[in-house]
Amino acid sequence: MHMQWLWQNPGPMWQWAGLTATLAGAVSSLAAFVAAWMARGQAKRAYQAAVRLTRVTEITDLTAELLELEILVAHQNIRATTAKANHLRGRIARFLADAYDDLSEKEREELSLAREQLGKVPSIAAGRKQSDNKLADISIAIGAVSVSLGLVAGRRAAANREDRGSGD
Amino acid sequence: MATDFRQGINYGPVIAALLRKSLEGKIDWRETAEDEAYLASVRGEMTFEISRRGDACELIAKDQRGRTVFRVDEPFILPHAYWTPLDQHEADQTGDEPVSTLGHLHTVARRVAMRVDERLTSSLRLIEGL
Repeated sequence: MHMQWLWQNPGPMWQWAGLTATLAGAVSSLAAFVAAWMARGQAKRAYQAAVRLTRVTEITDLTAELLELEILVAHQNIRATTAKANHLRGRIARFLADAYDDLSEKEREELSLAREQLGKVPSIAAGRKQSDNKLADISIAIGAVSVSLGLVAGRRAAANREDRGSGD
Repeated sequence: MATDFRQGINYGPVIAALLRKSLEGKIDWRETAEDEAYLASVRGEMTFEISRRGDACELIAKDQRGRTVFRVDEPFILPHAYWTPLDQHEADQTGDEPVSTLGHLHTVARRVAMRVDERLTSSLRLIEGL
């Protein structure tokens, strides 16, 4: 009955056909957009993984350097500690620039704070305090660096697990 | 608009913004190995260090590569020449001299970095437990 009415009145039939085609077009556009979005996400994760693979410095390198720095402090070797602190400061600055886009705002903040704290070591070492007091001050600065690098390392490990979990 | 380099640099807006954001709890000040010196990083792009030596407060701003962008100092207590009538009125009422903006920033940075509020609460709990 209904179809018969439609055949007898072709105007509304063409309108319905147009509407149906429009809706189908919209649905297929949405599906294409979702597929493109997902592909973009996968491409981005693949790119980030490739960048991480080719990066010269990794956060684990920095934490290993920090451990060596802590050993030098334990040996009470102020000159070697200062040299190592300067070296680590340079490596953090390089890592920060190298991994900038891959790091969150909080991670960048922690790394720049770690770098600033390490920058205090030479001035403490050159200060007028007695060796024991200098070592105590250096330990405080390195403790702060340890907290910051530990936080970034934890976040990086979580991000890597997330990447592996996503199947890339 | 071209900068008129004959004019002195106006650090006021940056210091005021740092103070405002610190008061809002949006800047995470940290302790350093030096007494009375506190560090904060803003979005990992600039670091600010506020320190106090005697009566002088100093603010150092560094860029991402650790280069000093500017350094500004101010006495902790606002010099009398800069007092407003309101400062004068408050000093007359309370007997306390007004603190400069950098002095105020140092006080807030110290409060955040040393976790003064948390420690006050735990001290109170300790004392009440006696």
